[in-house]
Amino acid sequence: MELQIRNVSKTYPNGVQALKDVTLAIPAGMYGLLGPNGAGKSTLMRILATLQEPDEGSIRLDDIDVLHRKDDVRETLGYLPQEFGVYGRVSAEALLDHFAILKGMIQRRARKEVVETLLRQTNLWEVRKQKLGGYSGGMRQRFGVAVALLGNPKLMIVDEPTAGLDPAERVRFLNLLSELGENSVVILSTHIVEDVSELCTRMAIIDRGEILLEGEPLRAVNELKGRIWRRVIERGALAEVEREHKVISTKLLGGRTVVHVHSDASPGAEFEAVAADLEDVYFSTMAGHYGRRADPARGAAQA
Amino acid sequence: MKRAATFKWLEIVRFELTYQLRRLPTWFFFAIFALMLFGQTNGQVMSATQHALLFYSPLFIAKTAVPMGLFALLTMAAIAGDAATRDVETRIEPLMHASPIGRLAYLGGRFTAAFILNALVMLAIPLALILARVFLGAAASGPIRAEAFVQTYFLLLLPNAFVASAFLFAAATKVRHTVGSYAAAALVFSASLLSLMISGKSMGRWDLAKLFDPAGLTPLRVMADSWSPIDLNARLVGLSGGLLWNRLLWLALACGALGFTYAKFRYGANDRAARWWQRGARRRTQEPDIAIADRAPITILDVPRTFASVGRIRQLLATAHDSIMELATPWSLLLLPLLGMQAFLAVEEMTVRGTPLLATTGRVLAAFSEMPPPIADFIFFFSVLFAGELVWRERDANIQALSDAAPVPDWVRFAGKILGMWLVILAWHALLMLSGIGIQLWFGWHDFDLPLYVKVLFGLRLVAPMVFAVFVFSIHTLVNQKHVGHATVIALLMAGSMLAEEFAIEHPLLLPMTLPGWRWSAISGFDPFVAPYLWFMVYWAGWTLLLAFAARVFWVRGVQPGMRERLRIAGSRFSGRIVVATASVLSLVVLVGGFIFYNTNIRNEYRSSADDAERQAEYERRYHRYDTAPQPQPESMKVDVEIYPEQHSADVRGVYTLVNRTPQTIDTIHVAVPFAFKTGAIDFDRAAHAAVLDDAFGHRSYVLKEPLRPGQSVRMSWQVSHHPRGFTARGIHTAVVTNGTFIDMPDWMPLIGYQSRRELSEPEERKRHGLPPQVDVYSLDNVAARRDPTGQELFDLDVTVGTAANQTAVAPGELLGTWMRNGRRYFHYTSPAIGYGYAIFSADYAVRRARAGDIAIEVVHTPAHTGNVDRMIRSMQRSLAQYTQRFGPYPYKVFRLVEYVRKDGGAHAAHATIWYSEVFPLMDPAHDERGFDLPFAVIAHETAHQFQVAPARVEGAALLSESFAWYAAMSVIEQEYGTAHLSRFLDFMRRDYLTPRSRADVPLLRASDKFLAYRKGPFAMFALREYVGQNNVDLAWRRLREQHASHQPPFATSLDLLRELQAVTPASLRPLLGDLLERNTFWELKTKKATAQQIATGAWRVTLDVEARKVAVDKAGVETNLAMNDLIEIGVFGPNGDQPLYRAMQRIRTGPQTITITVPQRPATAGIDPRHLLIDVAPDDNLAPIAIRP
Repeated sequence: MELQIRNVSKTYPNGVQALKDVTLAIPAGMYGLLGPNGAGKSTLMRILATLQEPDEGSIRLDDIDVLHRKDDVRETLGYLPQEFGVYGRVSAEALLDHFAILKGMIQRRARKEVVETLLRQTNLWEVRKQKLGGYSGGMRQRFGVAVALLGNPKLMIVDEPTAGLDPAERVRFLNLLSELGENSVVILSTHIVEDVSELCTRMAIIDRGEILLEGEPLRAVNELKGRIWRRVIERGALAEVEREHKVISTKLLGGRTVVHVHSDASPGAEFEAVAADLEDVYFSTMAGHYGRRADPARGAAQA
Repeated sequence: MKRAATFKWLEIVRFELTYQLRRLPTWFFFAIFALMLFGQTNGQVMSATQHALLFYSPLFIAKTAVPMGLFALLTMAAIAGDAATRDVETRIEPLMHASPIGRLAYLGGRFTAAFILNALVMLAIPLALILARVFLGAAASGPIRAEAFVQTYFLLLLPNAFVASAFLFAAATKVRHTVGSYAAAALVFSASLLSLMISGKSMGRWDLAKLFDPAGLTPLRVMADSWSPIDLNARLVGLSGGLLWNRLLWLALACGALGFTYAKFRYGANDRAARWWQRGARRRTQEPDIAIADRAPITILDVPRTFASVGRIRQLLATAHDSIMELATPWSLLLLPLLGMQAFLAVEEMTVRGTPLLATTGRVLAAFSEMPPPIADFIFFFSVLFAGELVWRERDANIQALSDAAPVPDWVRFAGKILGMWLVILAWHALLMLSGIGIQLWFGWHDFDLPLYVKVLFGLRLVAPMVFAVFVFSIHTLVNQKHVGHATVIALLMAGSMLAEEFAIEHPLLLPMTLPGWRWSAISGFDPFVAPYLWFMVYWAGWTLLLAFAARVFWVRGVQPGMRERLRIAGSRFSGRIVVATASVLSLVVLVGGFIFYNTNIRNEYRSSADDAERQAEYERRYHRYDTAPQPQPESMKVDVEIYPEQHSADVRGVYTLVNRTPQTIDTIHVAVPFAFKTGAIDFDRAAHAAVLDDAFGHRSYVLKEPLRPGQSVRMSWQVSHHPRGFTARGIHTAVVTNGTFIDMPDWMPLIGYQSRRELSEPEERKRHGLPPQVDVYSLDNVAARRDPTGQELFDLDVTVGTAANQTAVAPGELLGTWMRNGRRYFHYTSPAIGYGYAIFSADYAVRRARAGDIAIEVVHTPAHTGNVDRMIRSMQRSLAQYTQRFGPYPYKVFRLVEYVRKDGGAHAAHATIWYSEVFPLMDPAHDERGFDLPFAVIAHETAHQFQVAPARVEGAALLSESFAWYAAMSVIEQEYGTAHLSRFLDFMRRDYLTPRSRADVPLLRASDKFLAYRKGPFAMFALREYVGQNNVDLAWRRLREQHASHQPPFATSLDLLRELQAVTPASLRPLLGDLLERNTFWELKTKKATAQQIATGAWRVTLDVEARKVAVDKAGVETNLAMNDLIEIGVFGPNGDQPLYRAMQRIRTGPQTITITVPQRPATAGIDPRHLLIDVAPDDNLAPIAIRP
């Protein structure tokens, strides 16, 4: 099971280049696509979900040419988009059943079983007869997951799934996803770093349509060991610190400002070394101290 | 895999059906449609009875069902539009499109479901028609035949549902918004109408009209007009009459639309612009650079904010602006093309019988109101949709959380949106004005009456839509469900008209948004319509305002509450200023309503139409026995009229000199006093007492102490006054106005004897009032009718009219003098031998005088309308000169034309006077492409009426009046303009033959309908003129006139004319005379082939293969072949058509025959009866081009 994305580019009519020569090899398992808003994640997700055409490039899911055999891809696709609506006047059970038929499950008994299983797994069984118009955001999200999971998809595309969920819901959702990664390609596109660090065995960082980094999260974190430094400063001192050091992130902690700085060696006595985490990898990559921005020759090479 | 695909398709259909059938709005639309069907069926049952047709005849069922199907378009648009766009609207598209459904199954399934639903909607129509028998009993006449309904449904309704569903679905899918399906529905509706109006009526291309009507209605209409009565009641519709091609064409186009939709549809179209007007909004923008750490802290600028009145006004204007943007963008897709179509149709409307009119502002505005369909009024329909869109704007965009939490008071939102709607309505009217000016420029007329445009488009025509906009907006707010809101408005308005019919509620105070009619005239302006219109406008505006207050109080803000919650919130909002405002508006409504009621019911008598019918019936019940009582006739009349234009009143006093011309003694004089005016005391110059004074039913009887012996006379003096106060429920009196008074004397004068014209004429109505069926008094065989002098009397007339100082009063006859008294101007007219149908006019006129021999000619016209006056004088001079020679002297000294207030472009002939409508001067024959002078012809025709014989009131009278008038006028036209011009004019008149009609009819001797009187009759006379010679035919008419010069009974009938014509017709042509007048004869003449070959001498031998047949058709439509051995003209023409190379009569038999003719030059066309003297409903095949043989 492998999804081969080669040299995919997409430019919108007004000149915005959403994807620039993206090449990725995605094996079975949980793959995280990390990047800020507007990086091109959703565009790539939509292209993979057969809803959009790239200008150039090729995509293969094993031996299926995704771009030219869309109907075949859809038979084995599960897509949970970033934004979607539902028919408010229909019950969850009825609409899920409808989608099940649309996905090819024409045997009534088998279908009923699948629908029941999915509704239980997404914790919607108790409310299955209620109209979707009355569902909360999290419930609707879970319904979307149920639809995406119909038919045991080999390619699962999940776009910003935890954005609107409360902490408990988020944990439940990620647990659900993790069970999938065995035999399918699951691409999780998000800007929440924790999602990737908790779940994904491989990841890529994308910004402005370019892949800045690709590889295993753990390895990337390891490579930054000993290069991340932390200091608590006053708000007013920020500008000065920025001038002198490579600040990669600024946070607030109890009202004071905490900066993380990237440096091969200690930048000074005021700084303390911290264990790098994926967030630091992310910020370092975005800031250009790591990954492709740091060393173009390396390209989006393995970390 | 195939099986899975079919299953998916079935599932999509099943899901869509259950979804739509579960929605409340769907059922609401069904209910509205059912109500509409009920009302329409009722109306159609009555219509069938009125036209003496069987309701359940196949053609009538079909012709009734198809327009009902057109009304279903609204429901079908809602269903198809929803099926096509729901995935876009609910944003479930990504889920749907990522599923493995083929495009065909996806689109096909949705369309199939929509089609099934629409087919079910259509099924309601035959159901309703069948149920008519259950609800209305035997009134729905005829046997119910299954074939009729099966055919109607499967040949007409079901294909129509398919075609409509296809176009509606395709449009909505393409545009990705339901406005697409509504726009397509409007187009389908208009296409049906336009094909009838443009191809059919306007261009005469009925073959195209039948083809291009998507609903298949035009072929049915043509059938209804051309089938015989037997067929009309029994024949199955079938696929004849162009229906087959029509169905095939439109089914093909529908499949094409579906195919186009399928081909152009793409999954994930979300990426490209969702809707064409949102293209700009959905462009991806590049995320701007954001540094990871902020340079400077975020500071929020402290800008002053105003919440006082100024601020509120600004918010209101901003809301209005936003509303306009929301409406203008998608809806201009529909509105602008509609305006274009309206301008196009208005241009078509600027003619009178094909002659173009001068494009004055008044005419253009009249065209806007009079054209079918009145697109200018569509704004009302759009207001309903606009209101829904605006009330739901925030909720549809899902932004209501933001907007409802903003510091904008409810009333600002409410008022701002209404202001937005008003501004769009204003823009619509501004565009109408621009299109009006454009139309005027198109016709080259540069005098724009901008104040008139403003008064009409921004005055009278603007207020009603604005009030209506508030009305619908309030309903939408109160109902709080978009589609149900639409349905509620429609239901309320329809309920109004249905209640009126069902429960006979007619009072305008009770019917929502009922406004009195108004009309602008070039002579009288808006007078007297403005005042009642404004009162009703204020009344309804008051009610609407109350409704708006209710809406304001029930305005939904925030989360949608249930009804109880809304009531509670409403209760808490109803305080302070709103209570005061409600109370004051309520008292205003009561005051104004009370004032209106005072006018309609107290000052004036309130009469419903049922009351009027009852009055007529009661008059007949009480006084019919006096029908045959001998009565004296007026020998002379002296009338004094005082007109008070400013007060809209008039007083008429008269003295009749009545003489007993019967052989019996008369002891009682019955007087029919007018219903509409107040008659004072009636006195006689001998002792008499009033035995019956029944003014309520318009009858008085006076018994003379000493009966009137034959030959004796008595003088009767009377007075009638008209001082109207206020207005009535049915409108306002228009006889006396500030400028343009028209007093139609038969309505004002007391008439002697029982008036049988007051009787109810509808057989159904008579039965309902318990009256016996009317005796067929009008049969040609009714000898007694010929002796009945009622209404035929001529008397000497002496009229004195007093009017305002600046006006000219006109009455029949010579003006003896005019003087001033007490600041008023008086005119004294006198004339011999005037009939009852005379009129008195008063307005600010200009008079043009001329002479024709010893006859003084006058044209009395409004000073501005000098158009065509010279032409009319010329026509009168030529006509008088010719007619006095042909038919005898003109009986009066003066001949006068008077212009008066009238909507259409007609003219009316009375004794010594012709009244012509104010539109007449606007006719522009110089630009008439057909190359003839219509106004000249019309005046020649009306002048001829002065020389006709007064016919008895029986069948065939029209032959002696209208057919005679056109016959006479034809020679005047020919003398003035030449034979070629006359034949162009005759071609125009002949076009009426092309309009589909049944051939079943009575012979001309019994002519009474318009077609026989105005077309077939004159053409028969023209044929006689050509065959027998004009002098002979004129002689017959002249003798007839001389015989009845005394104007005493027995009066002339068509049989007398026949006798005179027989006297002047040679024996060989007598059969033709019989064919033309005694039988309803049609010739079917055709030239199959024409060839020519040059012969040795250099001349050409022409060979014609013709086919001829003659049939007589009776009233029921039964055709009888007649043996032919008729003299018919054969003609051979050279290349320039005008000069014939050969034209002579030949004997033609029934069937095919070959004719050989030798002509000196090379011929181009040849044929049988080239001048169309003999009546043939297919005249185009008489002539054929000649094929030259080598």
